[in-house]
Amino acid sequence: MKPQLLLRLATACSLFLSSHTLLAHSAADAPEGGLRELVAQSAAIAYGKVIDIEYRNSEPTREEPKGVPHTFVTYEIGKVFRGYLPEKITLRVPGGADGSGGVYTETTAPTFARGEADVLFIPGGGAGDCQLVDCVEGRFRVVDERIYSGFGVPLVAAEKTLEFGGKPRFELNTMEVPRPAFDKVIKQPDAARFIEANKIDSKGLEELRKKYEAEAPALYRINMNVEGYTKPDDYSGEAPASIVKKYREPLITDEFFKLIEHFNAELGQPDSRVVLASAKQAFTVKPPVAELMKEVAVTTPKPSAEEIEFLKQSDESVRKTATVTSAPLTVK
Amino acid sequence: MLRFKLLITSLIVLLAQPALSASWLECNSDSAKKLRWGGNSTTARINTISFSGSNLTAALRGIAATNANPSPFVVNTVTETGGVSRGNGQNEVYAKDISPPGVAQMNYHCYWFFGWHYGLDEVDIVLDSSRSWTSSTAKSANFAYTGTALPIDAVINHEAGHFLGLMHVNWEYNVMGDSWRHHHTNGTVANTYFGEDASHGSRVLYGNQASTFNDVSVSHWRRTGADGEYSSHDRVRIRNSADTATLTSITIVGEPGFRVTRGTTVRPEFTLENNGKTTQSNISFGIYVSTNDFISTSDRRIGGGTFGSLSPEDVLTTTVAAAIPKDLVVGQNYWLGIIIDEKNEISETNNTNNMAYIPMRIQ
Repeated sequence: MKPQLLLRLATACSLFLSSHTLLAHSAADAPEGGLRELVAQSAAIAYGKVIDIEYRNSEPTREEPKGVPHTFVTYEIGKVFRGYLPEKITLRVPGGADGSGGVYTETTAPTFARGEADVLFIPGGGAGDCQLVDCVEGRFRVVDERIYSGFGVPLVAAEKTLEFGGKPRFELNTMEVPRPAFDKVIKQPDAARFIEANKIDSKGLEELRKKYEAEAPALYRINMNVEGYTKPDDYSGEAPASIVKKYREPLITDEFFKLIEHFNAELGQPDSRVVLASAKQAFTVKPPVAELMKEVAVTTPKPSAEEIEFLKQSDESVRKTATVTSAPLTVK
Repeated sequence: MLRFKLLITSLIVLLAQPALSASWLECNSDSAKKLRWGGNSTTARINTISFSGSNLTAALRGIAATNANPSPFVVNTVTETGGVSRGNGQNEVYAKDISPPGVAQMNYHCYWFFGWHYGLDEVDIVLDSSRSWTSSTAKSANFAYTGTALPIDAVINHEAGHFLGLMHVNWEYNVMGDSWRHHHTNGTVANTYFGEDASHGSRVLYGNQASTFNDVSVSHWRRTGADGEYSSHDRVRIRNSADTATLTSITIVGEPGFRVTRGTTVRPEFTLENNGKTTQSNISFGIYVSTNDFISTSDRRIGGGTFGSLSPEDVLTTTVAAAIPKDLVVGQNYWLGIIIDEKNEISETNNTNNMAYIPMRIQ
């Protein structure tokens, strides 16, 4: 048999097997919060590589006169699974460098470094608060042909629910930041103190600028670090108890891609389009407004006499702890 | 024989190796440049438009829980009545309509200017105003028990961990993983707490506080896996005497319990933590049977012993043997409980977290 024919047969078998597996999925057995829902919420889904990152603050407002740092991340798109996207796209997410050495991060937003490969789930319309579906939840990292969450946790299943677990790769959480311009960095309190302490005049400042531009690293990396990594089988740290759950290896890229293609085919074309962001255009974000917390009314259960007696004693104990650990509340 | 002894010794050492866990941000990919506050305190400004009355009390309780850690770091609290904003140098705690239940918005600096300069500058905590919350510590209000609402203090406790500079951990039972199911519960009250893992993280960032800080505790929650960058927690179990299977589960007064045969030996599971800064050894414990969900020394003691050693760097979920008395009434609900530091030998900052229970029905 000719090698080409063998290849065709193998491909046909593989397609049959994968479609057979995929046929097991239907809208009926796809629960909320799964990949199908993520696909449905996306106007575009693509695989791409980060090729450029720019940071820009939102336009100043009365409440936030310095604006809020945002990241404009540009991807070179390798594959589009859903919707329409050009070869290069720029998305806007909250957080990033302010250009003077300061950085703003939201714990629900992703950070980026050039060269990272991702699968992106992008909502329709403009940038909004974050141009990924559920912000960091709409980014999947691709490392060594395996799929990880936006925070670097292995994606181990996606046919029904999205299941993440096993050894996390938190080192994937990196933000690449260009060094701040000299004129901006000298406004930082530590830098200003350095200039004052060394009695640097305007001539000296120019010399310092040259030295700074020669010596300061062009790029910094801010990253998450951890201690106490799990073993690959998700060791729970519970020595005498058994391992609570073993996770499989992260999904391989092709497996994940096929599932996206399957759900996309099932859902049909998206009814909205992505409006790409541009770091060259000024933008505004709505300043936050504090709102009242919605509290559920509670009927407090009646404790037993035994508990009441204990609570009396523990109140004393808690009061003692509070005195030690917390400063008194003052109203300003 | 000597080689065998050495092997056994190494195994014991290996098993005793604590599974440290903490995560943080660092400047210029250098673990010596952890992003933390320059000093050992900061001030949280709690917005009174969002938090007043019992809500404010709950927010303060959440921050007090964070402050109950063995590092010298303290989050002080004030209230503010005005507007809120990002990047104003103030650590504000407020609510608005957001997608996740809570988020920490962190401002920090990391730059080189003839040496590296780095540190936290501002952390705002935002809670989702559109969800149903409770300011109560009653477990009947808490959705993780028999209620429907999210406890304010628990999410504030988690987000205040970000105040210190801690990030999420998913490979250990911990408040930076799943604060909803991370309580000390006895009787009607479920208290949020910072816990051993985050306490260890606080010491990684800020070192040990100078004053004595001892606190051992027990919980009826355990880690069951990961949910993204968060840990997943669920209730502890009652295992068979060989610890090879979990007994049949049953719902008892709205909580997960187990069918237990009287006259048999079973192994209830509990999560033990040393929230302090030094290892505690020979910790006494007692196993009790109660006719209600409040465990105290007034209940019937059915066993006990000592835990050899509890490091402040590793959460320990383990089982202990318990002989179920033959005279318990078949078909009746009981609560199988544990009291640690039963003999009150450790001078603790908190004595209220030494009891936990598992509901059971006798068969």
